[in-house]
Amino acid sequence: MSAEPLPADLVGQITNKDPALGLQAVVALRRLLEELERVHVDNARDQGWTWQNIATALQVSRQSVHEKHATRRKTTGKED
Amino acid sequence: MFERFTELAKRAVVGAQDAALSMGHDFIGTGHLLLGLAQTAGPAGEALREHRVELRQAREQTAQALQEAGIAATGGQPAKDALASIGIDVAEIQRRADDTFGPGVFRFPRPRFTPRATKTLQLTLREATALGHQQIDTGHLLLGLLAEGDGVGVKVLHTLDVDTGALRETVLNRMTRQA
Repeated sequence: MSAEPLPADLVGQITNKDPALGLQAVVALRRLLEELERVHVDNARDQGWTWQNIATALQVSRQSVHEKHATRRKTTGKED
Repeated sequence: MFERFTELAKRAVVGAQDAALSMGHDFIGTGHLLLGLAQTAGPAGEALREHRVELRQAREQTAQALQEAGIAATGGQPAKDALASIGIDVAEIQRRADDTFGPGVFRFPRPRFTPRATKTLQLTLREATALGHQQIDTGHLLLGLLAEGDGVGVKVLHTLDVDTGALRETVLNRMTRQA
């Protein structure tokens, strides 16, 4: 495991002047966010949460969370 | 659209994702779709075998075509490095997610469809509509791949000396025979 960067290092990296580096990190972060959402929505559904409960927790509309995840779960056989 | 896919067609798409992952690619392109179809039963796989498309060779040619296009098989390392640069340790997230949810539930970066693969899926839908079929099977996927015409998948078929026009006829014949 890599050593934890010192706060000063971290600040230096986040505020790196090279736009390519910063933007690449933003894209990777967005992708990580998508994956975490997928994992946690699946977990919530498996534990019997309603779409409304999940939507409330994610602070989005029921419709948008359903659109995004319900078809995928049906397709992958996780839900009828 | 995937809800209209047959079990075999879904299996082919999962096979495409597995091919991408095992080759160290963080995207699903038309080459991977071809590999998914080649290793799955159904009219597409049968038609490919009839035209002597062998999985191992197709895989080698796909890897080579991507390499020649300058696409590195990085296993998503650049994305992980980018997150490390802002203090996020993906390996640690992976470890915790594996512990909590089981191995492989969390996957980063999860391969996504390339624009050409997305186009292929749209054309797949169109092929099914044109034939008046409600369900989407492996044969429609292969027709979609051929109709897109310009991706790595078709390039690999050309490298393997496959007559794509004849392949289209073969798969259409098999599909109508089945229906």
